[in-house]
Amino acid sequence: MTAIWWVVLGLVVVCSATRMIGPAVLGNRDLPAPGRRIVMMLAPALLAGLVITQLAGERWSGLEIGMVVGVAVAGIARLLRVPAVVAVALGAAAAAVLRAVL
Amino acid sequence: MNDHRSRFLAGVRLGLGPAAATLPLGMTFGAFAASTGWGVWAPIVASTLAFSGSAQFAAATVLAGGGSGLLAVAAAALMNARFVPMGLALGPALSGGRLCKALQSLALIDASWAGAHVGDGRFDRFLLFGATAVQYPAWVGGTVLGVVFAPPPDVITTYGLDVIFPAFFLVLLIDELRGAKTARRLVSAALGALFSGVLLLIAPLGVALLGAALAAVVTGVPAAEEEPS
Repeated sequence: MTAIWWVVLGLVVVCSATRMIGPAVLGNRDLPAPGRRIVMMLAPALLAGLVITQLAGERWSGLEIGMVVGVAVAGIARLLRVPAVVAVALGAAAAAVLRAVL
Repeated sequence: MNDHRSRFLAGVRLGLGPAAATLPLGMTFGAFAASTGWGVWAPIVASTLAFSGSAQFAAATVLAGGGSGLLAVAAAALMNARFVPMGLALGPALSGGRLCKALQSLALIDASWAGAHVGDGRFDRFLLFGATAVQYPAWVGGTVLGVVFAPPPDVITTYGLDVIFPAFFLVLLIDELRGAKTARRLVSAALGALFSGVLLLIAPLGVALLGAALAAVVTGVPAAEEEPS
């Protein structure tokens, strides 16, 4: 087996294990009260982290005006109660137009 | 049963937007991997069985930079470590025993996890399955197309497709913060953004995302005033 196939095998093991370990360890037990509160806070914290990391990229090297404006347009549209899919599409379109103009 | 089906279909609709971005991202991965010595089949098998864009890109980038296979897998593990707390949160929504739950959790990806959150830390597994069902073929199919046709890398930025994922996560965050008991969630989001933003300066992206999860610990551990002890 060549080196790249060992990497693929490692990827499969790592990606499966990280997904499976939480539900496998927890089983049908309920989390204790502090654990439940942490889980309730996980969605906003991770969503904010995902926005920042996708916007900024590794070591903030990916920050770019088209991306920032596109994401801002989607956010403003959603705040104005535009349907979610349309808001995201507006953001992508705004970035594409801005990049074509600049 | 019909309720399960309607929730699954709602998940499919939820996953259509991210899938539109996943397809060209998969093409990019396939083209990048094929051009850096992975051959034809290894990228396709990786996408089919690992099904994780962030981990696969991390591993491919390490290898392309001359890093060892062990380093590549370690980078992927670091990138995907966030799935551990996400899986813990998702666990109660999955059915069956430990093994059954673990197998169902293979459908866990960022966009599906976020879309399947129905509030108060509760998740709907049918929404998750539906959202993943439409993104999986997009990722694998995109990888195949990328390996075979090798599209120019600027397709994604030219059409603004790189904006879809962060915009989707922002839209979900706004919806999350519209619900009841918003103050603590707002603090959690602000700290998540702060922690990940600062960590991005000094650590890999996967660590920065784990830092965001730490914000949930900071805001979640203290008991709420209205909650009985």
